[in-house]
Amino acid sequence: MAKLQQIAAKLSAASLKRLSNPYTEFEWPEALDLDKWQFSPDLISLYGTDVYNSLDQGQQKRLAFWEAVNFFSINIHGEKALIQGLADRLYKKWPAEISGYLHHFLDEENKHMTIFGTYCERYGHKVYPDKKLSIPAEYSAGEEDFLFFAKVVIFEELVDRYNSQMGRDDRLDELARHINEYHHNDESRHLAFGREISRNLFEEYSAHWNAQTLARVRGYLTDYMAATWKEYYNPDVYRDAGLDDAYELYESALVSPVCKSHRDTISANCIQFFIDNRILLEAPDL
Amino acid sequence: MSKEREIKQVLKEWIAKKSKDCDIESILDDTLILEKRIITSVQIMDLILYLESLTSKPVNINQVQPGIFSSIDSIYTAFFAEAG
Repeated sequence: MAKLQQIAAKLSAASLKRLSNPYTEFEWPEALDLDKWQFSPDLISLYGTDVYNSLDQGQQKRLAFWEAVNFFSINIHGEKALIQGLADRLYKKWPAEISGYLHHFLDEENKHMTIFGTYCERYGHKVYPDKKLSIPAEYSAGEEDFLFFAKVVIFEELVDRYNSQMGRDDRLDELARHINEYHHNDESRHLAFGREISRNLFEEYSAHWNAQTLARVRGYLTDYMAATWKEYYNPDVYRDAGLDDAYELYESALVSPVCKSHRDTISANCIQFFIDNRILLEAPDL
Repeated sequence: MSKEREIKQVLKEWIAKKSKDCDIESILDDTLILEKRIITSVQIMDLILYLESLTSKPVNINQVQPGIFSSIDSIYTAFFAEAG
């Protein structure tokens, strides 16, 4: 826990240094230029599939726009859950440095949501609805806290791979590029914290869990990673982009070798973290 | 086969396909599919997308209770009974 306290204190100092105002950081044009990419083409969920290859570039860019709205919607829902969970854990039982950093974490996530929400509402006229349903469960000691932060790691690691690439992608419309860059700059701190606290909680509690609990935790994280990926293949996106047979496209993308290879590549660092710390014993089949 | 039987059969086939260790014969209309972990809570999103594709209607997650996914009977009642 001492190392975690040190990291939390450092991250708080870094957050203070980078305090920003999302209301003045961005300029929002009346309308987007959809001749420009709103999403990196190679990150589009159907990229590399026969369907994607059959689209002309105008259709690909239209799909890219709705993929951007979906990506920002995924971020909004993920961060909403994150904010609820972080707020529940403020001043719970942690050393002061950790609650101190949780305040920055909350502040930054709230700011991100305003940015994502503005893009979605202003240009897509909607936020794609969340399809995840939380079902009450009983937990062993420490299990709920560990799962919460482990899910934060999964959600943020995947999102950040996209942010990191798109924040540097000169093909993107400047607004979309800037949003991704801005998010990536905060997420690197959140990731460092999420990894460290997950590792700490697993070390502290897993020794007291029985085999059934350990198997349940590992199974849940594996399923959660697969479910998180499914949000990236949204049938509503395909419908909005004017593609036929949206649900069939969703199902076919999940089993497409090119899409699976993409998921494996993007998830590799995240999975390695869980395996290195014996949290997972093998890589999930994504 | 009645429409209701047909829809319930389709749902059982989908659940058996998604389940890691359950065959279709063991899924009855009133089997508690979540409680028995035949499907897990994180697979509910997948089920919702499948239901949307069957009914051609969006599911508003804010208006559903987790209990409606507890069995084939409860799913049928919530999403198909009115139309059926």
